[in-house]
Amino acid sequence: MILEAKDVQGDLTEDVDVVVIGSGAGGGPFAYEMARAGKRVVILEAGGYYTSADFSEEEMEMVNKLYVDGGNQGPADGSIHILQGKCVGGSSTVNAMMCFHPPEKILNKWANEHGVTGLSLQDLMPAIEEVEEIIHVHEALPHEINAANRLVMKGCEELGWHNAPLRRNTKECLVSGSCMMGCAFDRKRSVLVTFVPMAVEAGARLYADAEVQTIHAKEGRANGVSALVKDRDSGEVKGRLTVNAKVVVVCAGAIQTPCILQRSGLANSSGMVGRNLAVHPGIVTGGLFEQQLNAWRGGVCGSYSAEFADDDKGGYYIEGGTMGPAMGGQVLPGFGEEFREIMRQYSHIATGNAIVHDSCVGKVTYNPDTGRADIEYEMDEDTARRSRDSIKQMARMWFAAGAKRVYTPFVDPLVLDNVDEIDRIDGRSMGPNQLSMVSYHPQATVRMGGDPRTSVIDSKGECHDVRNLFVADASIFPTSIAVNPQVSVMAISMHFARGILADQDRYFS
Amino acid sequence: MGSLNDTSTEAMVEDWLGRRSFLKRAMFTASAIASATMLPGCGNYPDAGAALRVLSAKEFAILQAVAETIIAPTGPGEPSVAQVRAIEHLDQNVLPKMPANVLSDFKSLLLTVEHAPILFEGALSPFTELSDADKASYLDGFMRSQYTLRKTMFQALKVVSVTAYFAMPASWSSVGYNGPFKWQLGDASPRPLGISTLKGGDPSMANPGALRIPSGGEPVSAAVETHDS
Repeated sequence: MILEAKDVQGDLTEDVDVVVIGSGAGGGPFAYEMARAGKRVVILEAGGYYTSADFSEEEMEMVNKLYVDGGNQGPADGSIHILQGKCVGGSSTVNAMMCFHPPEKILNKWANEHGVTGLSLQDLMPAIEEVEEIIHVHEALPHEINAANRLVMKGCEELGWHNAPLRRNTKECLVSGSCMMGCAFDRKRSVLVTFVPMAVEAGARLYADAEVQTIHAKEGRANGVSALVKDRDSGEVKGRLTVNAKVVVVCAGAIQTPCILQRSGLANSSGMVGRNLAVHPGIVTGGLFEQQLNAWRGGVCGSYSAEFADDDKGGYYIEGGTMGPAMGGQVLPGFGEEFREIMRQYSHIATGNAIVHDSCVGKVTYNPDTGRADIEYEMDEDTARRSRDSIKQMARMWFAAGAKRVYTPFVDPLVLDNVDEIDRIDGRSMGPNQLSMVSYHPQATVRMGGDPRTSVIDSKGECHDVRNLFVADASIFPTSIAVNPQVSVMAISMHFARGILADQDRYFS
Repeated sequence: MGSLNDTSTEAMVEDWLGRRSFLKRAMFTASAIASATMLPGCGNYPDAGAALRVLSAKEFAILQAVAETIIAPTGPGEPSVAQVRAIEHLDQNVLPKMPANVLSDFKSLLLTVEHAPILFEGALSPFTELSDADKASYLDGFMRSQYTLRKTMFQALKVVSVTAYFAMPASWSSVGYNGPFKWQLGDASPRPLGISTLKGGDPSMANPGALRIPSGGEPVSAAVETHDS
């Protein structure tokens, strides 16, 4: 059963085996594993429960409803928008469905440099395979690769670069193009329509509109949480929810998970909770083409290039993706008549972005005065260099695909009319707010590792400082994972849950 | 228009306001400027023509003027920001859901934009009373500034303006956008697939709404609830 604020009247207490905080890529699979093993499970989700019937596909309405802070989350200086879902299914409900295995190089780095054990690609493969079956991952079919994504592939092909269809978690895709507004047809097989209903069918209970305030622990062992169930529109507290549990799992994402731990005063002897934020800066460029593309229609993201994925070749992936004018117009340059002229040609524009493998230099701190996360992030020199390179290479790609003009993401507009102008990018500052940036993948703020002095959780997901307190979301990554993370998060979460179930006397006695 | 749009002024403002907390301090700056000057028109803002939920009439007027300057609908078939009622829609449907501190920062930003022409342009008029050309020149100074503060402010204004305007169906034909998929198909929209179940076989079985308490069901209120494995 899924309960919402409208269903709650007064205070409630639950006594369960496992409480899962968050219902996204981490929380969904974890709850499913536990519920199907016969454990009593409660899932607490701060966002609302929305289904395909609620997804209007209208950009502003859906971003406002489904994203943290209506899409306005980010550092106080506004230098980057950090987009996360705040709804049942979490970011998996609003993402562009890109599915990558965790890179073996990255997993090896975690093992060699951070003391992570038992999380090799081979160790994770059983969970990866089951995840991919459940969420229906497959290589994008020809009709799922729209005109803009085909231009990405064409440009790469012309330059002799790697390019391939993306693997996506969709079934019978209608190529509506509204992937990031919630799939109105349940074709996106997100956690919302897979792991959550399967967990509920196995006996889990999910409370939406439930904001966890504190995790409780006694004598070094977690034993439950307190939450407030709030009306989605008015914010009125409908009831206080106390969940007593033998195991507590935090899966609230890399911004909220550290805030919950900080608020609770737990698990931070290392000082690492909230630190080491990486965000995969998304660097968007666009190409203007002679032919009409209507690039907002079709699978938002359908192709990619790993030509520059290795750190010594660039350190970023290039991915196609164009949205409607309300979201897509924000990344196109200029204002006034200059901007208006660009928008008149919107149906001839394709955009794509580079996902940059960045350094862990940011920070998340819970602010008790505002009750919100204070986020600090500024690209270091390496990340700035990679980002600049990605703009140049994407420009080459668009021109090779036949673009008449290329739009770069610099706030002070830099529009290129031919490939010879690309080096003008070298003269531009990459400092804060000098270019439009967006992040879809905050991570690494509650890092995993072998040394309790430099990490928060161990290789099984349990906090070094607090027994029976686990973390299972993208905050556990010791470094940026370099690829779109949803499959990695789901698989690691499932793997952690299986580890707990394999040692039940330890955790449930 | 005479201009104080020089690097010394910008450096001073940038240093004083600071990048990370600029909006908090910008509120003081805007208030200080507004109260310390005898700018004409400071208290005279037109009625928004609609009942406002979040914005004051002054804030509405500022944001509308900013959005018109940024969007610049000038060609045939290009409705104005006012004609598509973008700012009314924003005020009624989006701003009420913004976190309080984000909304407060945004209102401070609007005040700063309105009253800062005297700082950056040497202009005695607030933004809303500048000519269209001077409005564009003023915002151009923000966009091209070498200082992070003004760029930050410009980006925030552009994002809000673009989102608000192009969220309105009346704006879509001007950019060749044919609207969301459901919008196009209407009653011919395909049925949703449904949610996965554990009962094996084809996951296109269940209605997502089946997971909710039935409509009209009793609210949940209990001292202790346990549920069976």
